[in-house]
Amino acid sequence: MLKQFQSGANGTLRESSEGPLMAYHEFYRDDFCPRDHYLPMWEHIQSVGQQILAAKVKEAHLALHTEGVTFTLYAGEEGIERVWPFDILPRIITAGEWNQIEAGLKQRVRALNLFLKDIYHGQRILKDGVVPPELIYRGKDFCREIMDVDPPHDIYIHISGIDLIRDEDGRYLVLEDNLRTPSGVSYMIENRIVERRILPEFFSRYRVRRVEHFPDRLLQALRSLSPRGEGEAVIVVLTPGVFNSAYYEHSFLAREMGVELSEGRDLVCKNDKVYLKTTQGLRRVDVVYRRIDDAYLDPLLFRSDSILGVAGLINAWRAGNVALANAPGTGIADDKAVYAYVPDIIRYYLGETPILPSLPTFQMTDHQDRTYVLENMQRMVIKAVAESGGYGMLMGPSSTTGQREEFRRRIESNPRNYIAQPVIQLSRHVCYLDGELESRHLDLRPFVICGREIEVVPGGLTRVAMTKGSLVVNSSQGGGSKDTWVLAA
Amino acid sequence: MKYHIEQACRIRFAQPAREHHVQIRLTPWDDESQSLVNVVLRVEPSADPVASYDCFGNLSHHFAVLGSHRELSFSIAADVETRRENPFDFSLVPPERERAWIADSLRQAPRLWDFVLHRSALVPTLADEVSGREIPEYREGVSLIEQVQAAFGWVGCSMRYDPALEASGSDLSAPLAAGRGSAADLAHLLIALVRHWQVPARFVSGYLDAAYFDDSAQALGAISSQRLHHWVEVLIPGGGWRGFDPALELAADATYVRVAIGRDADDIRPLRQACRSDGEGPELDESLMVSRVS
Repeated sequence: MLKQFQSGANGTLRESSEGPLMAYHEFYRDDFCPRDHYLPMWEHIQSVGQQILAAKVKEAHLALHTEGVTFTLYAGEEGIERVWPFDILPRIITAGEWNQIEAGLKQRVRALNLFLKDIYHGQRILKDGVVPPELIYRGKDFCREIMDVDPPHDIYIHISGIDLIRDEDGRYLVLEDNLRTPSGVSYMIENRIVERRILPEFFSRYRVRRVEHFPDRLLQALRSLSPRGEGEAVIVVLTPGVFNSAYYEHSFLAREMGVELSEGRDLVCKNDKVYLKTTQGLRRVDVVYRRIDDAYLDPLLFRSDSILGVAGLINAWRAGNVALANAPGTGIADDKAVYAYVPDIIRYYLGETPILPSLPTFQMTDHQDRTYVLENMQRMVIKAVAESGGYGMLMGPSSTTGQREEFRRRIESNPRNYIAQPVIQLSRHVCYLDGELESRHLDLRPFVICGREIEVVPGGLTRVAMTKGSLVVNSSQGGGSKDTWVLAA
Repeated sequence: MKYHIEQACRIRFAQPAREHHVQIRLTPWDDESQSLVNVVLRVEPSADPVASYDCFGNLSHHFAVLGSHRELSFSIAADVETRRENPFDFSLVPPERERAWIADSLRQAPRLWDFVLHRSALVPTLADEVSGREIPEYREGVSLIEQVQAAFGWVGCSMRYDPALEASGSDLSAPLAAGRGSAADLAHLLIALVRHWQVPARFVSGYLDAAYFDDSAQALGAISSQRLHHWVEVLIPGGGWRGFDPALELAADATYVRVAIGRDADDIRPLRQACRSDGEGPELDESLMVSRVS
């Protein structure tokens, strides 16, 4: 790994001391003319002029505000509710590009489901020495409590949001797999609804594939898990409650799917079955789309101080009387140290070459890797393996000496908890900000639903680093978003 | 040897509780070293206990009382026959091949890694906890059994066994600082040492037939059959899991009845419960009676 990175053998990550790499531009070609698939949009922007665009920005903000499309930003102890930040200029993905993304994501999710099934049963991949057992057994999110339990259809990951970035050559790379309770799908849909409302003329110039059917597809997938058959399936969305940063999304999905939004206290387990408390009495629940982390899911088995979960839920799941989406224990597969092995995991279970490459990853448990990273911290992104949302991360180039020393200390005291990756200049795209066209870095989170079949919703959440030059796109860290258009062939 | 075990627990609340879920891990093991002949579980108010095995192979029961109640009690009666009269009834692997035997076991059964890699406040990394004292290192060419038994001395010097102490607290640093500990504390320290050697070791809860040791009752002090005892199992080349009791400096034989096994005591708490109640936490009354039948 170290050797490959230093020699730039993968052809894209040419380590340079001359300064940052040139980022791929989604919108402009190298000669600063818009790429072909952006030309109709570009012509339209030119023709409508500044005033109209500025009015549309206001209209979008007002629409999101009126619809209550918000998220919660945590600042210290307090949570501040913000209107979802949205840039009106869409990101456009051609059909050819999408085909490759779709095939790559399906391949990845298929392999990761097989990996989870294996890790929680026979552990063939460990016996064959493809993945080191230490990686699993030292992983914070390895959920030994679910060993040998068979989830419906052997599927663990029903909903995933896999983050993609593009390197300087425009090649799509997987940045991280979000396989626990990924957020953002409601914003993907709301972005589309707003975009259709304020820029209907754009849509007449492109054949854009729909994303609004996501809740229907999710509902179908959840129904397919029902232990009593699809006809009788009673489904609930289990939320930690109104104080959770993604509460808007939980209520959105429950509403769109026409199912109950419930908190832990609304459910009760009896004889290994789960019931919803209703004014007509207890009503049996078949499928729980849970948006609560594993640790808080069941106080009888996991954190006993959890007041968010449902006591007895895991026993009911183990007995096959209720389905949980996603299944418990998926966190070990999106552990950032396991991420480095995903290409091997794909080859091992599927016998295929990975379609979407991963980023080079330095394991801090490896002495050689660790020495190199500690000597080059300014050129690295260092991540805690079980964190998400941009937390527990050091962006080397913008870090202070104090921050680097702090991370050095943390890495040395618990190397399994950290990995490092070279800084990738995320691709850029034009945004309409304060009356100007400005380029900003962005990534893409497409959503994958795994029911009887695997389906990738043609679109995703494009997250934008709103601060000039910033590479941090997380909404919890001040990022914004764009509507993402996948073009029909 | 045959034992009859009766264990009872009463949980009382100052204010009524509801949706009370209980998970207990009190059923003795049933494997090659002991047979579970009979087990009866009673719960009051009435509930339907469900049995299931956890990831370490322990048999647990869970049940729920949903209605309002101020008291919940359960009792478990079990008959067990233990067979390991001689803890060393196996063919030894030559010491120079023991490492390879352990490596092979880990390769064939990766689940064993849990008992090598797990560290917690109860089973810490030794170098962090035992400063200023030499840590016995693994000696090539010396049999593991010999090394574990020699380690009893090191554990005893690090903390003296005090039978009057209740089971372990939240971490091992306090008993280490005090220089004395419960059977569970000594077991955790021995586990930390054996794992330091990269050898699988696990924590065992169960019962000890104290009456069997009439002749050495003095040495046993306050130890009694009427409370849980704790010891260690080490994966011994050629013999599989074998019990070692650092508190009494004994190899576990047929006078030890195994109830629950885990990476440390936290894994195998005998009682876990969750309920909705407006009052303070519940009060517990527990009783245990172990008697040798034959």
